Parts: sequence; structure tokens; C-alpha cells
Amino acid sequence: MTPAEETHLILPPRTTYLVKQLELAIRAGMDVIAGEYGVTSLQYTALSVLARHPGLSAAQMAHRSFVSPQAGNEMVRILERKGLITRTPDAYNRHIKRISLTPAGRTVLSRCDVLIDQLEARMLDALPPADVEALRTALRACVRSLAG
Amino acid sequence: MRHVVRAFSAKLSGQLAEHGVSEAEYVSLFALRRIPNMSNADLSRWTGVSPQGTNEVLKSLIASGMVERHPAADHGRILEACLTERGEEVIAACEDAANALEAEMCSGLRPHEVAVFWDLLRRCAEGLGAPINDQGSPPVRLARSSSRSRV
Repeated sequence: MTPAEETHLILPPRTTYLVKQLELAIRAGMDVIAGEYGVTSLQYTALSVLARHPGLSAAQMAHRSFVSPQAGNEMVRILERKGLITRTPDAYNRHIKRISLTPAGRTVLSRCDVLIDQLEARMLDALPPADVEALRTALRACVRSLAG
Repeated sequence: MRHVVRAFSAKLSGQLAEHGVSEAEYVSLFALRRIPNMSNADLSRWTGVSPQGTNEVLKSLIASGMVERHPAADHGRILEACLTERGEEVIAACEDAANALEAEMCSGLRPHEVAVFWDLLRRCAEGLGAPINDQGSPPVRLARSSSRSRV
């Protein structure tokens, strides 16, 4: 066995590992910021999804926020209790509850957005614009390959 | 950008979960496949998970019949963990799946693009003040090939 082959057996798949580690680092940074406004990074993600797509159901919100439907339901309850979102029955199907941000929810989101944009800027600070574009392209190519 | 990273990461977790083990369990099985007979403390050091967390993971793996514990040969009070036959089968299947997933994921990139991608991911983590140490390979080899000398 060549050293390269042996190393391959010892280490976990590297792309997977690096992406996971970077995601953990991003999430840790986001948790600190979101925590200052009383939400978690996952709740922040859900708020930003709702800002872009008002009127989603809990299931649609969960899907777009990358959490399970169960976790999504729980999150909706928590965000509603904090007064950051409201649920109103759909005009045609009263069983479906449409979610939207309250003014308080919008305030939390915009304050977090400013700080999280700074976090992203710090992450990309050392990269020239062409490298940022290359990173974006590579991530998209990977997501596309996995989706196919 | 962060949304793409999260989407990507969530997808990976989901695919690993299909093999019936959590990510934390996968990491412990992965380590025990390479270094059998580790104590709770050894395993915790290797995986970077807290000793309490490691203990929970081991309990769950013992309950599902993938790991067993026995007293250490040279120190009766320390319990060492090793994979059961079922644990060996599960981790082999998980690693095959993880390697296949990685290959599929990178199928749209040329080899040199993959190397550049790794470098970019590392530099992002450094920018966040959380450098990823994946360069020094752990001083281990596959348990089954331990008779093979590594020069």
C-alpha cells in the first residue's frame, strides 16, 4: 500500500470533514450573535427564510431552514412565544397556518443581519474576490452533484 | 454563502443518518475501528468530544449492540471499548457510504479544483479564528491491518 492510499484509509473523507468543520465554526459565530438577541442560529435562519418568503407554512419553513418537520414545529412555537412571528389561518384552507414576522421579529432579524454580514466578511476577508467566486462555484457544484 | 454551507452540511448529515447512526456515533465507531480497546478518556481525546458526551455515545452504541466494554488487561478498573462484529459491519457500511458520498459530491470538480476548494475552506475557517487542523494525520492505522508495518 502506498502512503497516499494508507492515509486515505485513516482519514475521514476530507471534503465532507472540512465543510462540516467550517459549518460548525460559522454556526458558533452565529450563535454568539443571535444569542445577544435571544435566539439561536437556527431560529435566526428561520427568521431570515420567513423574511424572504412570508406566508410559509411550518413545514415549508422547516424545509427551507434545513431542519426536520418536528424541529420546525417546535421552532414555530418558540418563535411565536417570543413574539417574533405570528400565524394566521390561510384564507382558503383554515387548517393551514401562514407564518409571518412581527415588527419585533423584523427588528431582531435586521440587527442580527448587520453583525452576521460582518462575520461573513471576516470569514472571506483573506480571500481575493476571485477566490470567493471560486468557493461559491465549488460549493454550488457539490450541492448540485448531491441533489442529482 | 453561509446558507449554501449550511444547506450542504445538512444534506451530508441527512445522508449519514440514513445508516442508522448519529454523526457522533459514526465518529466514535470510526475511531474504534482504527484503535480498538480505547478507554472513555482515550476516545474522548481522539474524537474531541467531552468525556461526558463520549460516555453517552458509548452507552447508546452498547445498547444497540455495536460496542462492548471489558476491563483493561493491565488495569482492571479502567473499561476499554471495542467494536462487536455488528459494529464492524455497520462502520464498514457507513464508511463505504461516506466515501461514495464524497466521490459523488466532488464529481463536478476536477482534481485540482478539489484541492483549491479544500484550501479555500481552510482559509475561511482561519478567517473566523477557528483553524481546522486536518494536516497531521492521527498516529493510527486500520485495526485489521495493524500487522502491516508502516514505514
